[in-house]
Amino acid sequence: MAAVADKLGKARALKEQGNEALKAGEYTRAMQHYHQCLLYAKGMDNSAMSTIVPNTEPVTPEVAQEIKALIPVVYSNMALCQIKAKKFERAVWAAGEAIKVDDKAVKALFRRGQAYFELKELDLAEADFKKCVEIDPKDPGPPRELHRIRQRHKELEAKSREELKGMFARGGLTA
Amino acid sequence: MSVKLSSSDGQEFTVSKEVSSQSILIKNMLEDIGDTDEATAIPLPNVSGTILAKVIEYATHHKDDPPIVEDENKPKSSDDIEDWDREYMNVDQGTLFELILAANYLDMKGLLDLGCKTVANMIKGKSVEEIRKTFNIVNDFTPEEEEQIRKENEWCEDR
Amino acid sequence: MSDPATDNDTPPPNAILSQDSSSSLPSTATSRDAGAVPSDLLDSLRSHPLFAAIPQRDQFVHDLAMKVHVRHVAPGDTVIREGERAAAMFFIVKGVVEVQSKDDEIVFAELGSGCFFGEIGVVFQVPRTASIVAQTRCLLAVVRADEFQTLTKDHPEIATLIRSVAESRYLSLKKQNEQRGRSMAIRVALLDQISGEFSERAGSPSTATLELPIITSPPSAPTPAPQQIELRVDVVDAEMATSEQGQDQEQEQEQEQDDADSVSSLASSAGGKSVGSLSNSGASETSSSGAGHHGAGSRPKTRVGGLIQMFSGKRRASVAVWADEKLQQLADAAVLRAGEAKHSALNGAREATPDETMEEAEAQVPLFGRLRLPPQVVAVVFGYLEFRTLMRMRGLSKSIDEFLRDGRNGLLRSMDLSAHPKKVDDQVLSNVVRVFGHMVESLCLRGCFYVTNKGLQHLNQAPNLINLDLGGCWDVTDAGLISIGVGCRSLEVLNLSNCRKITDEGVTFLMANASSLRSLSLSYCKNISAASFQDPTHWAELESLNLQRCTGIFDNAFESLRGYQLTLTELNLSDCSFLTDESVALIASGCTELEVLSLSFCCSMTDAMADHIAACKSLRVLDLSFCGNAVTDTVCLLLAGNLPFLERLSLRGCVQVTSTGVQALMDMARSLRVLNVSQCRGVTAETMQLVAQRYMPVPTGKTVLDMFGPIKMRRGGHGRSMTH
Repeated sequence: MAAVADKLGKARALKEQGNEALKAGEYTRAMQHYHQCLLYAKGMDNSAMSTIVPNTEPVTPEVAQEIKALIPVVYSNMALCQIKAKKFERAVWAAGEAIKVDDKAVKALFRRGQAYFELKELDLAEADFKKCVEIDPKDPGPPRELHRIRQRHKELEAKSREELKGMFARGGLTA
Repeated sequence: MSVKLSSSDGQEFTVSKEVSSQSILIKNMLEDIGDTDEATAIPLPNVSGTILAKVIEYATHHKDDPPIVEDENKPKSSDDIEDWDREYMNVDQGTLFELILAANYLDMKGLLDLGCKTVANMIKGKSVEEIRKTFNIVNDFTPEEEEQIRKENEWCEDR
Repeated sequence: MSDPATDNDTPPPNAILSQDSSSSLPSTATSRDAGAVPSDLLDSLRSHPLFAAIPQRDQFVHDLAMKVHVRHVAPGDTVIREGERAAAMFFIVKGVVEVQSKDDEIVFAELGSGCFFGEIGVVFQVPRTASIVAQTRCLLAVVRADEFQTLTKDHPEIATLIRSVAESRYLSLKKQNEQRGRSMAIRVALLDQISGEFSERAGSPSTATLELPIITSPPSAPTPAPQQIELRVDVVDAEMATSEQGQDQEQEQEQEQDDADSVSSLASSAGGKSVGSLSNSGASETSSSGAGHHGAGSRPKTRVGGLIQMFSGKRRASVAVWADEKLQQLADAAVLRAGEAKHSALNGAREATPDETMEEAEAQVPLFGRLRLPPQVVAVVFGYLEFRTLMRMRGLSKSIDEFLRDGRNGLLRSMDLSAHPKKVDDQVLSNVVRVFGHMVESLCLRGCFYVTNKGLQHLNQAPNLINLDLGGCWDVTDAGLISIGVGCRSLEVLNLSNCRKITDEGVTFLMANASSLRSLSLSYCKNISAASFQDPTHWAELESLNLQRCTGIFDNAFESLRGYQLTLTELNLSDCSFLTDESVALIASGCTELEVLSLSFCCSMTDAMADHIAACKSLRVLDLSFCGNAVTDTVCLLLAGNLPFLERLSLRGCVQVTSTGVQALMDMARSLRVLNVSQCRGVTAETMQLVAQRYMPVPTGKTVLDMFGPIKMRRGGHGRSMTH
């Protein structure tokens, strides 16, 4: 039975391995490491194991705190990984999991916004970026993305106007 | 296609992807890393071998269940446990709690609900003292505090 | 040393606050060298009256300044949250914060620049005893708990001073909570014990006073001698001297004026300088909050039972704090518990465990003996238990009690006290609301006839109440409605069925004040008349209305609908035997979105009403049972042809209807799913058979209105107004 320190060490190590793989562009391997990290990290906040299962230590508050901070970071990195791998729906899921644990996880919100943008869910993307601005008004990233969304809206509008014009011309309706 | 799971104490279990996907935790993992590497076991460092076996038993029996849709407006009832599940949950308290924790960890709603319903049923109908004894709960109220709560709850008693 | 009178008014022009303090608690920032300390921070600390009397003041201030981290917060930011672990204490350099209860129901105090907070948690190593919310943009100097300990080791006088402030604030918080019948979520056993000492020291238990050093907000002449604190108490303490109260009133006026002045001077000073991030935007915010703050000074008066205390530099008359006998008893009990004091901070030995146990308590609920489950799992278990069981569980252990009372767990949003109505009285209601009021959204007191207006007064402790069922609480009168209208501003669904004593006055008040109300039942309230309906604007938001057997209602009640459109979708006028076709005409014209209508037993109606009903194109459910006079085959034809969405129709007991009319419905009413023609003597047995085969039956004891249970309302939520 792995001691708490071992599990925590493993979780940390796997996170680092995930980060390395991400940097090297090996997305599937990165995801593997990240997922494994979570397998270690989650469920470690149960001191209950110590009372039921002999030889298991209770988890100290410091460890619990570290775990609590680790999990959204890993999910957030997963989101980044999936974005790079162009798996945008999975990116939305991963970022969502980070936000579930920490609703002020601004990086995760940002990445989810990016993923939504790629999925053409402009309203959802806008909502996420706006939340980013609320949490961290100093970051220039989200406002830039919001601007991009506005541009995209304009483009889409112009496009549909063109299409309508075309309809009138073709349809023979007097404009 | 099968998946290998390894418990905290090193026991390995091979199950179908279908069965293992009852755990949303595992399901998401498989979705992200694909079908690569059937040979490598997925480590579950927070579930012991005994419990993992029991969890797999549940997942195997329920693998054809339709997904659970929760109706928020319906009051939750713990009276609707089916027979197989009731038998399955006929275990000692320690195992019961380990199963609940495992279900929470593995994100298996059906098993989690079943475990919690079972605990709820152990609470229902018991007096405060009986509940304390059943679950070994320490009474850390002062006599005055306890008396005050008891007075406030007088109306709840059926007698 | 700068002149205290003008100190924080005019910070030096080049006091650039270059510290970036975007991180929350300063867990990783390091102390810096003195050269980089913002000078107005130093000045503010140096001139702080708290530190005025200590020896080596400059050294202390320097040490302090070395250890602080600067943090900016925006208005509305929660700096400290009640119940959280205490990791730091804060000095306010600029700005105003409010000390609030966790559910922000009570505002305990306002603190301005020069004040400090967060000391209770740090000094006694307990979780936060209250929340702190910034009212304006603030500049805070933060000292980490461990750094604070180091600091005070070198300067023990400071430790004594701060601890005495902590003590008095804790006791004051406790008193304020208890006056509201609330118990403190966080208790400092040690201080409970000390409170016993206080009363002993003062001699008579009824007039002990509290002395503590004053925390001033400039500009005011700080005095080194400890002064006494003024408490303006809304909840009248019987033993307080009235002369003191008189004094309170006048000095209050000056007090608010001063605070307003100090804040606006703060604003003007911030405005002119480019002080780091407190630049122009900061200025406009502080100045507007200055104005707001001035208004905020008068704000407390509108809080129901609210209590505001202003810490000020003026001399005030001392005020009896321990006047309450119950407090005295609690203090005595605390002294008895001295041996069990868990927090031994007084002994100087810093226990490692108090922090940890608190932290652990956050992570798990020490439930079920030594076995611990994460709180979200415990919440699932408890979700299967009914209300009375949960109430009983409170008595299991302290942590379970606290868990149940924590609104974040999603439990006890809905409370049903109607299972044993004879056991529920005003006292029970008051207890339940006192403990769970902040969480409850839906409260059912159906049939609890011992509940009176007195019990309803406590509903102001249930500000989130959305759904209230007082059906059968027949002692409730207009006064009760006033309590509801005032206390439950979010109320959307209200059932007053059988509250026979209520009159038009109460209903009018309610409708004028309960702007969120969407569903209302006044069935069997025979005193309700047209007077309630005089102002149609009050009824504008209502979607569902039940006036069954309101025999005081005549056609003139609907007069105000002339030329006015309501968004009403459900209307039950069953048993309103005095209503004539005229009412139906008015209703049809005024409620164009009507979907559900009952006119059963309205025996004054004739078949002329059918033309009007036929105009309600949105009708889905229609109950005309026992309208013998009004319902003929022609009427059936009209309905069949004109109501495209009609799904459920009851013609029960309509003796003039024959198979012809029924046939017309079967042929033409495309959407019809439920048709009740029982007791229609004119309909043949074969036709009855055909109807039974084709349509869904109405369960016995139900009507077409309530056969599918409570009617779901458009904007979500359940209304039970249609089922009397």
